[in-house]
Order: sequence, then C-alpha cells, then structure tokens
Amino acid sequence: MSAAVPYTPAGTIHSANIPFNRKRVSPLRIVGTVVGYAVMIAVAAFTLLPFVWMVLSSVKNNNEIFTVPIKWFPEVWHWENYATIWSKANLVVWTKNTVVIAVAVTLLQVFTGSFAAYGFSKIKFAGRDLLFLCYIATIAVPWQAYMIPQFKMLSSWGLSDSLPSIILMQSFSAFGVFMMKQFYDTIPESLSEAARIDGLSEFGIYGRIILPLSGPSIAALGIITFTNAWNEYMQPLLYLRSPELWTIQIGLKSFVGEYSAAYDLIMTGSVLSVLPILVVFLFGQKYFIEGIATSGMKG
Amino acid sequence: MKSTKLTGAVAFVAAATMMLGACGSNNAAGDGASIPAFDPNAKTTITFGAWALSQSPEFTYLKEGFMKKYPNVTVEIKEYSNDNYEKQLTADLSAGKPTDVIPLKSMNSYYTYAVESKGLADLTDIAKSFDSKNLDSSTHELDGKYYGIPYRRDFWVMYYNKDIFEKTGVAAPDGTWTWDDYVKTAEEMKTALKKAGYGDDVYPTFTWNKKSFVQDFANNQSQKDPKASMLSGDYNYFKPYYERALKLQDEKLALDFNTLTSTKVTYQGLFGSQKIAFFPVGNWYTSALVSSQKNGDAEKFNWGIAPVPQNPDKSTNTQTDKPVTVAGAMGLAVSKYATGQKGAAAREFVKWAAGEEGALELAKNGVSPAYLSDKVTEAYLGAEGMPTDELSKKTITDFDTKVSAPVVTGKEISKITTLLNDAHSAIMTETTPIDQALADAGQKAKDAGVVK
Amino acid sequence: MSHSATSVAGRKPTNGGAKVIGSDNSKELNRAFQTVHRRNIRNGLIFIAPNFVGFAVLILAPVCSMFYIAFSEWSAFGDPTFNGLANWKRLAKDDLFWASFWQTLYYAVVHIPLTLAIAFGLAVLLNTKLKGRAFFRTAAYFPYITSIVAAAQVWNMMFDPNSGPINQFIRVFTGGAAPGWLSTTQWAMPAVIVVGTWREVGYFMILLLAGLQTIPTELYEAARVDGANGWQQFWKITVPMMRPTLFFVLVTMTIGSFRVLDLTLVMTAGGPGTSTMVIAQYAYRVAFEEQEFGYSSSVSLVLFAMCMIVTIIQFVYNNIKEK
Repeated sequence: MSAAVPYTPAGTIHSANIPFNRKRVSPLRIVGTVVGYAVMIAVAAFTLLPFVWMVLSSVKNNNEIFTVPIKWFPEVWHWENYATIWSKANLVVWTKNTVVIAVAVTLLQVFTGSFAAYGFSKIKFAGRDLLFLCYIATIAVPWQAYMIPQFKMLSSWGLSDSLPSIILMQSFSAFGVFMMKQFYDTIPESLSEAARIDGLSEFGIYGRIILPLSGPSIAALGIITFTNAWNEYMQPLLYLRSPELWTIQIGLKSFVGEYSAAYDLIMTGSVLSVLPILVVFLFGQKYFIEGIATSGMKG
Repeated sequence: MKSTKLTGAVAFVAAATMMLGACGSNNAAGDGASIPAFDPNAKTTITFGAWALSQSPEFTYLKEGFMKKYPNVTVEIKEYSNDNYEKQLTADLSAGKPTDVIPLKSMNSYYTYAVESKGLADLTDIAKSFDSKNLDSSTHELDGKYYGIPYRRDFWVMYYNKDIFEKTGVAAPDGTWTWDDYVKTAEEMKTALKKAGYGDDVYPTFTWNKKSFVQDFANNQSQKDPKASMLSGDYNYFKPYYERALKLQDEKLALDFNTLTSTKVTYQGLFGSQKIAFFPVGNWYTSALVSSQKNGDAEKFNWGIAPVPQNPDKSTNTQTDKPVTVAGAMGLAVSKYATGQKGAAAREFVKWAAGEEGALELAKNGVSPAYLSDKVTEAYLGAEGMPTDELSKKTITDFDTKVSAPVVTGKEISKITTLLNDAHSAIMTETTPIDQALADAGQKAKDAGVVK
Repeated sequence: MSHSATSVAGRKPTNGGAKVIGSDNSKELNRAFQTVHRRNIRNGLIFIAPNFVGFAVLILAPVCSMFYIAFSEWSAFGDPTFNGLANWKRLAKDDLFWASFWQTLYYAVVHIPLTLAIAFGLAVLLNTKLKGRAFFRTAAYFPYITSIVAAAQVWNMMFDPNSGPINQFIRVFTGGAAPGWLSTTQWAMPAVIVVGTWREVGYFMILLLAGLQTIPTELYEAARVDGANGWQQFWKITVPMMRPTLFFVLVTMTIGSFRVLDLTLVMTAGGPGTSTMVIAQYAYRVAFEEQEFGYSSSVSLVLFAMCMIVTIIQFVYNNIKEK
C-alpha cells in the first residue's frame, strides 16, 4: 500500500524500470531515487529560473535590469518598489475585480461542468456523442474568429463594459465539461452499475458516489479554471473600458504602457499578480494529493 | 430522436444567423441633418475615448478646458488600451457603441472606420469652417468629405544630448545634416565617447525597431509622390536607407534590432539615462522628456532639437528650402450614434479641440497641436522645459512634411504596410538581404492583388 | 479486489440500459429498453442542461456564425456579404497562409510529443512518495501561472545570442559556436517551442497527475503479485487506465498547439520576417490589421478543420481502444 506508484523516474518514458518495493532495498532503487531527485531538481531549476529573474528584477534599480551581460543580483535591494507600486497602480481594485471574475467563473464552471460531464460520461442517450463532439469542436475554434459576433451579442444585452460579460463568456466553455467527462470515464462503470441495481437514482449516484470520488479532478479543474480566468487577457481587454472594472492583466498591461521604461515596477507588478494564484494552487493541490488514490475501489 | 436533433441543429443555425442579422442592422443612427444646434445651457454628458492618461495628459487638458468653457457639459473619459485601442474601437463600432468623441489614433484604419463602419459622423462642415492656413485637414479628406478633424500633429525631429557633444568635442548638429553626415558623426562619436571615458553601454545613436524609422523617411525624402511609390510594388528606393541602418548596427553605432526586440529597451529609458547622444524620433517625446526630467525618472542634462537628417542623394532628394520630415496627424471623430444634444455637444467639442482654443491648451503643455497660428507657436515654444536655443526653435517652426503625412488611407495601403513590416524585420535581423526582402514584399503585394 | 481489477481494465464502460438487451423475451425487453432509453434521455438532458444553455447561447451560436462569415466579405461592420468561394480561391494562392500553415505543423509536431513525454514523466514521478514532491509540483506549475508577457521578456533575454545565459552555457561545450535563436529564421521556432514546452509541461502534468490518482493502487498490487515488472505495469495498467485522461490531454494539447497565438505574439510577433508566423496569428493579423474578418474566418476555418480532423481520429481510435 505504501508505494503508490511503482516507477522510477528514468523508467517512466524510455529506459529501464525498477519497481519500488519497500521490502528489498536494492542498489538499483537507490540509484533510481537519486536520479529521480536529480531530474526533479533540474526541472525545478529550469521552470523557476524566469520567475527568479522576475523577482530579482523587481528589487533592482530600473537601469540594472537590462545589462549586457546579464546581471542576476542587484547592487542595492530596492524593496521600496513594492511600496511604490501601490501608489502608482490601482492594484486593490484590479485584484478585487479579478478575484470576483475568477471565483465566479471557477464556481460556475466546476458546478455546471461536472454536472454536465456526468450526463456525458455515465448516461447513455441518443445523440450524446454528437453533442459532445459539438462541445469539443468549439474548443477548436480560435476565439478571435467569433469574438466580434459574440461582442455584438453581449453588447446588445448591454453587457459590454461589465464584469458579468467576462464571467459569462468563460463559465460555459466546453473545456470544463470535456475535462470532467474524461475524468468520470476513468471511474469504473461497475460502481455506478452496482448503485443502479441498488435502486439509487442518477442524482443519487452523482451526488453520493461520483462526486466524492472526483475530488482530485475537481481540484485540478478548479485550479486550472482559476488560473485561466486569472490570466485571461484578451477578453477583458476587448470588453472593459472603465478603469474601475479592470482586471490585473489589463491593469498591468496599461501600467506597462504608461511606465514603459519602468521595468522594475512592471516586474514588481508581475510578481504581485502571481501571488494570489500561488496561494490558490498551494491550497488546492493539498486536496488532490490527499485524493482518493487508495480508497477509490473500496465501494 | 434523429429528427429532434436535426430540428435542434437547424434552429440553432437559424438563431445564429438571426443574431448576426439583428446585430448588423442596429444602425438607427442620426446623420448630420438631425443634429440640433448646440445649446451651451443644456445639461449634457458626452463620452470621450482616451488611453494611457498619465502618459498622454492631453486628453485631460482638452476635457478640462472644454468643461471650463461650457460648465453645463460634462466630458467623461473612457480609458482604452494604449496598444490595442484600434481593436477595441473596431469592436465598439461593430456593435454600434463607440464613445461620443472618438480619437483616431492612426491613419491606417481611418478609411475602414470612416467608409465601412458607417459609424463616424460627417464633419465636413466643421472642416470647412477652418482656414486651411491654420488647420490643414487634407489628411482626413475622403472624396470631399471629412469624418475626422486633426487636432494634433507630430513630426519627426532629432533630439541630441548637448552635454555629451560638449564633453566629447564632436561638432553638434547645425541643421544641415544629411544621413551621410549622421552616420559619419556617429562613427566619430563612437571613438570620442571612449576617449571621454564613457562606458560601453553608451551608444552614439539609436535606431527604432519600427519600420517607420527607415521607410517613412525614404518615402518622404526620396519620393515625389509617396503614395504612388507605395502602390508601385517596387520598393528598391528603400535600399539606401536600409544600407545606412544596417551600417549603424553592424558598426555598433546603435543597439541592434535583435537586442531591441528581445530586451524591449526603449529610447525613453536610454536617452533619459544619457545612453544615447543623438537620435531621431517624433516630437511627441518632448513633453514626456520634460516631465520625466521633472519627476526624476530621467537624469537632468541639457538637450536640444535639430531637424532630421536629409536625403544625401541629390538625384532623388525632395528637399525644398526647408528640411523634409515625417509627420503624423491624429484626428477626432464624432460617433454617428450620438444624437440630439449629445451629438451637438460632441461636435462642438471637436470643433473647439481642433481650433485655436484647444490648440492653446495642448501647446502650453508641450503637445504639438495641428492648428497653427502665431499665438499657438508662441505658446508651444514657451511651454515649460522646452529648449530655447535658436536651432531648436527653428526646427519646431520651420519644416516641410511635403505631403503633410504619408497618407496611408485605403485598403491596399494597410495590406502593403503589413508586408513591408515583414520585410523590415527580415532585413534588420539580417536574415534576408535587402534586395531580396524588398523584392519579396513587392511580389507578395502583387500576389495579393493590391498593386499592379 | 480482483473482481474490480478485471472489470475495470477489461471492459468498456456501458450502462444499465444497454446491458439488459440480448436475452430472449424480446417484447417485454423492448418495452423495458424503451423506458430506460427515455429515462436516459431525460436524465442526460437534465444533467447537461445547466451548462448547455449557457454554452449554446454564449459560445456555440457565435461559433456557428463563423461558418457563414468564412464565405463572406466582412470588415466587422454591418452585415457580411456572401462571396462564395472567393476567400478560398485567395487562400489557395496565399503564400503567407501556406507558410503559416507549415510553421503551425512544425510547432505542433515537435511541441506535442515533447510536452507529452515530459509531462507524463513528471506526473508519474510526482505521484510517488518522493520527498518534497509538493514543492516540485508547485515548481512545475509555476510557468503556467506566470504572466506570459513577463515570461516572454525573461526568455527573450535568456535567448540573447551574445550575452544570454543559454548561449553562454552552450559555448562551454561547443567552444564558440551557438545558435542565433530569435534573431535567425532557422532557430526562432525552436526557441518558441522551448518556451511553449516550458510553459505547458506543468499544466498537463497537473491533469495527468489527477488522472493517475484515480487509478486504484490495488491494480498494481495485483499485477505485482502476478509478477509484472514496472514496464509491463506501465503499459498494461497505467496507460489503459489513463486512456480517458490521455485522450483529453492529447486533444487539448493538439488543439492548443494548432491554435497557438499568444506565445508567438508576445515573443516574436511572427518574426524574424515571417518565420514564426502561425495560422492563428495570421488570422488575427488579417482580421485586425487588414480589417478583413471574412477572409480571417476562412483562415480560422482551416485551423478548425485541422483540429477537428486530428480530434476525430483520436476520438475514433480512443473508442476502438476502449472496446
């Protein structure tokens, strides 16, 4: 039970595989662990490098950022950049708007998406696959191909310069349905069958069996939806005009436009814009780490 | 089930098409005739599009100036994105919901907005009400009609750091430079900088990574009829200008294109921190430079303005008795959807902003207005922080843009502009030889059917 | 325990209704089938409805309008005018379109396997009891949450041919020779791919990880008892069990690669020249710089067709494999 997944890093894709096994500690296993850590550290360094650069730039003097050759550490640490930005940028308002959008989109997307996904995954009805293909098909259409008709529609409802327009556009994207459906497909059919035989209604099966089992995937969908909504740039850009409705991305972009030379502050803003998602991620990932892995089949 | 599905699908497509149709026909807009006379006593609110307010304070100056004159009219600024203004405006016009007063940021899409969107009001009467000696509106004329009135005109000049010239002992610009002199001075400056103890990060000059830097000068300074040349499909005349631009980056007289693109360093940052000695840019930079020297974003040093270098090739030179430069006009338009007093107030606003009173508001704050008169020039030269030496004064008042701007209206030109942008990037990254890149652009323009 | 193992790995998902058929008493069964059938439709629609209503109005309807616009001339203003095949004739001869077409394929063909391999590898690794895995998980997801503008900025500097750390590192091994990356037509696309992979690996890793965690550990234990080694377990349990998740990941990854836009927009703007111009960017440019929304929709429709062809192949293959 203790070894959740029996692979070494090296064996995952290409070469030799050494199953982890608590009972015999072979030299190979130690090598595997060492290689595993080496890989992880290399990957972490690679992925974090630009972020580290961003953080370091945010405490530099503006002239120190673009030097040739690249200079990693500032001569003097300008922590005051973090104080300055609050007076120059309306970060509180931007953050508030972005939180409203991201939370609303995440809730709507997770709720309606997982509900619909159950219909697509566990109930067999005529036209299901076709309808589902329709959903996937819309993912394949680039937004810029239909943004003008969509904009016309939403502004004819008087929603063009408003937060609900952004929330509406993102909440019903096919993405969440598709993703949850695929996760539900992973849950063995035998579970819902058994429940049907026991006389449970579809809603009962969804609420009492499937939903509790899909914790990790709901956490994943939630995190991803939240991140996407947080980082969405084009839609707020096209729709929002009033500065009091701006999101972080729009605000940052406009900040870049206004202080085009102030890269220290731009980097400070970027760092601050990432922090909230980081918190959400750290919070959310706890759930899907402690997921169902071992208890799923007990029912 | 099959039939239900089919009906559903049909209903759906129908709904989608209806939606398109419904949205397309929302042009219940007023035309000139139904707009009442402006009543200064009526309480009216008009919206005014703007961008990057702290960087472009002129919108606020105009708003406040107008509201001071007409206290019953409220001007409400809607802030657009600086970089994506035109995309947002396209969407707004498409949905029939633009602001009442619409700034026209670039001439590139003026034709589309004016002719195809049908969302801009006809302002011919306002254009005609100005004397062409004061206000040249010809940039915005389309078949005898005007949908925009220029309120601001920027032209290219050369900024130079007087302190650096003094310290290095290189002869400062005297207003007679050709582009050959410009390159020669850059070379001279390079060695002089080293001798004077400047670091490796100080460059003699700066080449903007936008194509306008090379191509617009070639258009205006070496072509009798820039628009015809742009439509000719033969872009060989850019070559001497590109050779000089490449020479500047090859000899490290200016930061190279790749570094500029990848690091996104800006001329504001470089000139402001005394990392460039001289470089040409639009005179919109003046007010920004003055304010950044004031608030400490830029270092304090003496600078001046000189005319842009001229075409050294006598056979193609278009210079008259005045130096030829490049200018861009920015116009104001009125939404066709603004009716009643709103429409009247919006028109009054445009008329006021483009006229002498608006021009004075701009000029005294260091923004160069389109309206010209002695009073305006005096206000502009007297703006705070404006250099006061003779050459700078002469540069600002005495120049020729030949055709007042490289008129870039019409569908063909916007296609060609995109192609020439690609050519510019190919040449300046030195991935394609000049001849080939220019020939490719011509060929692609022919393939697209925009030139003969 | 073993019951669930076989039922999971060995059978495609069916449901109660479908299972009853196949016995003798056909009339009665038929009626029962009808009831189940109707009930399934009703239940299915109830589940789907809350999402579908919003989806149909807000997304599907505007998307459908694209199909009409793609056969029209339209400058975003007024009504599109139907112009038949004119856009398509122009498309066939449009060099820039074809260049962007091939560049999109180039991006997809390299980016997809690379990202999938690394993401899957990481997911499997991070699904173990490795110490500090929470940190690594966060680290891997970091690129995805970093603003793309900031990311492009940093990478552009790191790719600097002369002073960038990447080339300084490469020169240690090659003794001076190093690619020009974003300043050359040959190396610009590889650089974009590197950044694209960097950005998306963590994202797909999260999805795959969530999928991995739904696999019951008992399966592996049973397999181990049967003497299967890690490699066999991977192919016999992990991959089949992960098929729905893999399908999702592959489809979204393919579509995402085909319609990549923001990355090239902020990193290279399609350059140098047009060497990193991809289809989505071309459509974007035609629409917003040349104000030709009709022609742009035709370009988007090609993109759509490419995505759908690959998706349907994956869909069919997936359905066959599940049986």
